Amino acid sequence: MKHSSIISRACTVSLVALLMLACSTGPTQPEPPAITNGLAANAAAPALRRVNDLRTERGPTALLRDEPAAVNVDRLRQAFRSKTPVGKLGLGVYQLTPVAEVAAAAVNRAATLGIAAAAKPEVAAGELRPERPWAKVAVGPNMLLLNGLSGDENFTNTDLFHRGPGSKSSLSDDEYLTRANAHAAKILANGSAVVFGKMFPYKLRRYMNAVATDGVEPDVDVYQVAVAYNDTIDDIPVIGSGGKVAVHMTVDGRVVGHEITVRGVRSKLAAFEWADLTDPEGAQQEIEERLKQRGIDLSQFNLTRTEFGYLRRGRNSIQEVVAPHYAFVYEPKPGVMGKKIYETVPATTNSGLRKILADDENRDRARKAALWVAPGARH
Amino acid sequence: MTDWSSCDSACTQVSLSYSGDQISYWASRMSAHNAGAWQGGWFLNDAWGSDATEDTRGGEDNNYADHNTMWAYSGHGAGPSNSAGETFVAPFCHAGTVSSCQYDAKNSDWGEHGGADATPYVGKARYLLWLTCYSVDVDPIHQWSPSMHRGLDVVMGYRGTSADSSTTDEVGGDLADRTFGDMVQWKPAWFWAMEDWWVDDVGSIFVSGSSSTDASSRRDNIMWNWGERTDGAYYNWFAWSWHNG
Repeated sequence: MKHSSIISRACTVSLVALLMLACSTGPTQPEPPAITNGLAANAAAPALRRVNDLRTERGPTALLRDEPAAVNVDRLRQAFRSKTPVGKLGLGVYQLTPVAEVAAAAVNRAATLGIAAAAKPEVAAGELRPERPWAKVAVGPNMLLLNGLSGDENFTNTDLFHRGPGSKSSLSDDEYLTRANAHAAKILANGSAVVFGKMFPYKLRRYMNAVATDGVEPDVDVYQVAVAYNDTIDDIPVIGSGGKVAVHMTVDGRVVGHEITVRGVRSKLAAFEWADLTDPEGAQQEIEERLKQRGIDLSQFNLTRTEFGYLRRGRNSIQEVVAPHYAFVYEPKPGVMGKKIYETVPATTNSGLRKILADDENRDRARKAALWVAPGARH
Repeated sequence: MTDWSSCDSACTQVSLSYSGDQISYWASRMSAHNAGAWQGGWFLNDAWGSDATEDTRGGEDNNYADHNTMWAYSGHGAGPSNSAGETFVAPFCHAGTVSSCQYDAKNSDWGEHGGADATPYVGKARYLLWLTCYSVDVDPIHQWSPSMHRGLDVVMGYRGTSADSSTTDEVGGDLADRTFGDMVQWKPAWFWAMEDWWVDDVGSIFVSGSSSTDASSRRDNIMWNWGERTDGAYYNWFAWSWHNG
């Protein structure tokens, strides 16, 4: 494809996408035209490992952790190195479902969750502030918070969430998974834009209490267990802090809290194929140049995770568009005093799509900037 | 961007990108909840070794870090071994009135209301938030017990390494929201604030009490509005929490 043709097509896609971002309020839009230039795609072999394939291989209760996001980086590296793209990617850029007006939604959710049938939110409609965007319903020990900017939903039983009694024994992982499955399926039913069936068991954590006096071996208990599920889009995993459902339980398996950072996708803004996909090597170079510009000496770090998936930011973030990204994680080498570094970059070279994603990220930066104050000066 | 370009060479470390943001968002949301009078927090470009070192040992904690009810810091940290077990160190920018720019927890006594360090200045700190690696690590008793005996109520931090990331820059702000906005206890507030299933940081919290039962109860129940312990009260039991997996 000629360069001018690529630009023309990218501009068309970005204009369409921008218009849809600005105007779309209705149901799912028709599939937009793919912007691939048709580089030798071979439909006989899948280009990307799909999460459902991994689940079939490992079993429905397997905790897949970050493996689904890692395996595809290796596949893409191989494809780019061999210069023979294989299979259709079918990647998309999607608009997320808008965040509902949360003051009213909080009342409805409180009723749905059985917290209170006629509870009143602490924050009424129109009163949400950037520094306090949560609508809250609290009845007895139960507290429900809905974030009016990000859509995050957080429920806790405040008598028990991280305050329950410990135990020397706990249930099996499978038992906690069964209970968490039942709860997650229940809270994501009833017309939710989030489809629990698309999610996969992600990670399980046991929360530990210890008590001791100096010179005495600590007495250690498990007091809480949590199971998290990770979302998928087109059977490709979500990466990043969002796109998760976490269910917290007491040691004996009673649910004491949950948090939902998942939003459904509403419409496909664009589709792209190999011609517009960033080479993993190129993505890594872009990240490492970014870190170098910040003065970070990567010779003191090891690259420990590389991931490919649809990026969702965390519980506070404003996000309207979701698209494939690469993520790179660097950890300090032994003997180096350093923090883990997490960086992401869009997985497309298409300038029109990149602009859409940059604009979306900049909206979240503006949210943060509105909160930012200069750290206190000491001298 | 936060770097060490103007700091003592002995404390020069790898640059960090989000330490200033972590402290900024914590401070802004403390203010939003009218808890601003409590705050005191610096990131690495502004902290001196003497700021958090006990005044009876040459430091100036009475004027700076230990002059606040709550103090937060974001930067680097480590948990090296010493003769007592594990300690906690954090490279600050300058030494100040002490010999090293590197803060060492063994040289501090936070919030002391009794004992030799309480003269001439008692401490005021009750709650510490260390947004660094290894700040409440596998041996928190030896890291923090001297301070927890006489006044300091809660230390929140990380077990092992923590992240420098745009996804974790709001943890301090979330903690302030949950603690002051929703009146939630420190433990559930901290564990909710720092929970990030993708990043996999391990948060931890350390509390003391007069007995095993008291320490455990304080760990699970203490809130920002609890009264100070009485002068001279000496706690020698410790309770802490973290997660596996």
